[in-house]
Amino acid sequence: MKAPPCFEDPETRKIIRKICDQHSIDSELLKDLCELMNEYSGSGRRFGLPDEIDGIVNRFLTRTSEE
Amino acid sequence: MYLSRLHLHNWRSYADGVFEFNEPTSKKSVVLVGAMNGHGKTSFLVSLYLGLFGRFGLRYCEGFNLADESDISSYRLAIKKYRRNSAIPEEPTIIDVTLTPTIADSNEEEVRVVRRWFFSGKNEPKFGEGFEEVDLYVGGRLQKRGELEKDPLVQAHERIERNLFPAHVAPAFFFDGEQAQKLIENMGESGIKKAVEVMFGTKVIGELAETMSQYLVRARQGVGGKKKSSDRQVELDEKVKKRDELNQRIAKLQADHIKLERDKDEKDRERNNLQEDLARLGGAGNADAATLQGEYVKAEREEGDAEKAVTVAAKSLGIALAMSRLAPSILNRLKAESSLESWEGLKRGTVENKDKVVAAALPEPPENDPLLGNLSSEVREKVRERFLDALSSIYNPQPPDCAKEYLLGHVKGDARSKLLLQLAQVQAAGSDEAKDAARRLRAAREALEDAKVKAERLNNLPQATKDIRARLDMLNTLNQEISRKLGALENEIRKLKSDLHTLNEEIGRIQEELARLGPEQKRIAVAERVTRALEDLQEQLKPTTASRLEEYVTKHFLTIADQRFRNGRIRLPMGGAPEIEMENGTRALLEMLSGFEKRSFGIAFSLALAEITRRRIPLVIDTPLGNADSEYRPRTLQALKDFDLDQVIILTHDEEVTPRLADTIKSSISQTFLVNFEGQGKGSVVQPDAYFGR
Repeated sequence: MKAPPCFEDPETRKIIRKICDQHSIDSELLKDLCELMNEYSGSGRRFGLPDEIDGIVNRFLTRTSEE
Repeated sequence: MYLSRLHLHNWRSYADGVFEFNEPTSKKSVVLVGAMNGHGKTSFLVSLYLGLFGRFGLRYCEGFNLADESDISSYRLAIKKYRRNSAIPEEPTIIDVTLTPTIADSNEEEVRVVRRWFFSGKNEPKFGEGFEEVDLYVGGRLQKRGELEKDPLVQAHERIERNLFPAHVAPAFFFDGEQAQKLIENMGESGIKKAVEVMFGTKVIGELAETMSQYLVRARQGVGGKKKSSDRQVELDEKVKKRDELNQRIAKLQADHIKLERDKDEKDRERNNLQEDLARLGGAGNADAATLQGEYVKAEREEGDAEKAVTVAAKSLGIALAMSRLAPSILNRLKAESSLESWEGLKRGTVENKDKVVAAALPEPPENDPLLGNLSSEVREKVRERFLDALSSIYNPQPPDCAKEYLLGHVKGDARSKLLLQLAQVQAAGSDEAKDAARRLRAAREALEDAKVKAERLNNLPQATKDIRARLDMLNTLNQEISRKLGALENEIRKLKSDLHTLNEEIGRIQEELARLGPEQKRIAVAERVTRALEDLQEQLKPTTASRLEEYVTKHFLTIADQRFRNGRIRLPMGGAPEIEMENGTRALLEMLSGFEKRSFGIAFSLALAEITRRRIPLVIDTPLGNADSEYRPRTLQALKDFDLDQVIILTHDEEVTPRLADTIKSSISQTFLVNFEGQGKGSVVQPDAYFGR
């Protein structure tokens, strides 16, 4: 599943990056979470969602601790 | 991606219609599907919504709304309405849709959705699970049903959306021209906002924010509630936020500092320039000013002298000129009178001495006259008289150069001779003196002009000097003020940097503390940051997305619209109806435009949404031209043809995209179909490679 179009737009990407910096996260984390949300969007399905969020957040923590 | 196959079985007028579409190329992307009214155009369009998304696509069909999506009975009635009237009860209604990636979409797979609806013997929709079934093929493979406890149709829907696109994106790609026209009437704040959220993905961001909040609640419960770690995280976040604010404040102050320094530099430069000007004008010292004043007085004196010189020169020249004009006549008169005087003198001398002349010529007594002594006394007397008469007449008549009378009788003798001499001199020197006088006059005038220029400059000097000094004083005051502000700014920046340093130390300590926490708490900390970031993001993306939508709608609208809208701009105000802002700044409500102009806006809006989604979904438009005039028709068609998508399917009747009009985009047409309703038995029959008039 693709990320929302705002992640592909140069102007909105700048805004996203700036906000991520302000909150000490990276835009990849936000993008991964949005993609995940896109998969679940509209379906009403929630089973497995927290685990997938855990996985994405863990990847972020690994990524940032490596940095 | 393109629609490669659409099979409609027992669907409205279609008994069993199949459209097989060729793979489009970048140059040939348009498909024309011709059908007269009631022959199957709208059925084609609606089949895409319901075939692909089932009840989740119903709200996008004309006459239905969101409530019908969750109301199964409405859905069943809708499908019954769309089922072919003369269908055999045992036969299901089937929509079989295949979307195939183009060569360019090599990372995607073909998706085929086969949806069937079943009916009872009375042609009524079956109840329960027996009513509908759906098969999904991805890359040719039938997707197995997953969790047994879940509604298989919902499962299928999720998969379709995952493999194709969300149902809410479909209205931007599959739409009725008439509905596009109505779009404008139904478009309020919520419509635009929703469209923006959906199409630009901000809806997902909102959903994610909500999900993250739920995740946080759950995660906190998992670690025994909102523990100290979380409090520390909140504290950290607050401090990080404060640090950001401090950084922003420092950045702003530094920017202000730079601006003030530039301002000060500019003023210093101006001050230097003014001081140079002052020195050039005569120096900045009082002694120089006194010298200048002296020069000014001198120039004034020169001016006065020059004026006097001009007066004298003019006077002299005037006398000389007057004399030179009268001199010849006076001279002539005097000469004539002099001649008269000479003549009278000669005459008088001769007459007065005639007796002496006669006595000398005829000496007495005659015996003493050896020549005429022998003449008789009578003859001798006659000779005497003749002499006397001759002497009297030799000065008659008066010579011609003599004056008849004396007009200047008071000037005579030596006085006349002297005057005659002077006059002769005046006559000779007159022109030279006049020339000299003129030269003197010219020189005097030049001298006067110089004196005036000097006087003017000297007159202005004191004011110019005063102005410069006033400006310099002001600049000095301003610079003192700027220096004061700079000092204050520097102090504040220094203090803020010190605060920042302290804050960074505190942040560092909390981060170290948090780093020692368990993975759950770390995840909670990240989730909290994500939640706040998402809130900010939603807020900040709204204006950007709204302005982007305006930009795209304007672009497409102006491509289609009449020249009078040239350089106009569509405005989509939050809470207001769409407007067009004309080149001259006036605004008009779009709902006040003509029917097709509104439809143009609707089409432009749909195209803009399609563009914003950045998805290559086929564009399917039912009757795009409607009541368009002869100029709007080709423009709209061109705009659709030029739209950057893999496939554009236009559903039209014979009066809309006429064969002649179709010829104008001939080079872009990849395929044509003609759908003819051939009675209840056969229903709508699909003829490939056919079109009206061919």
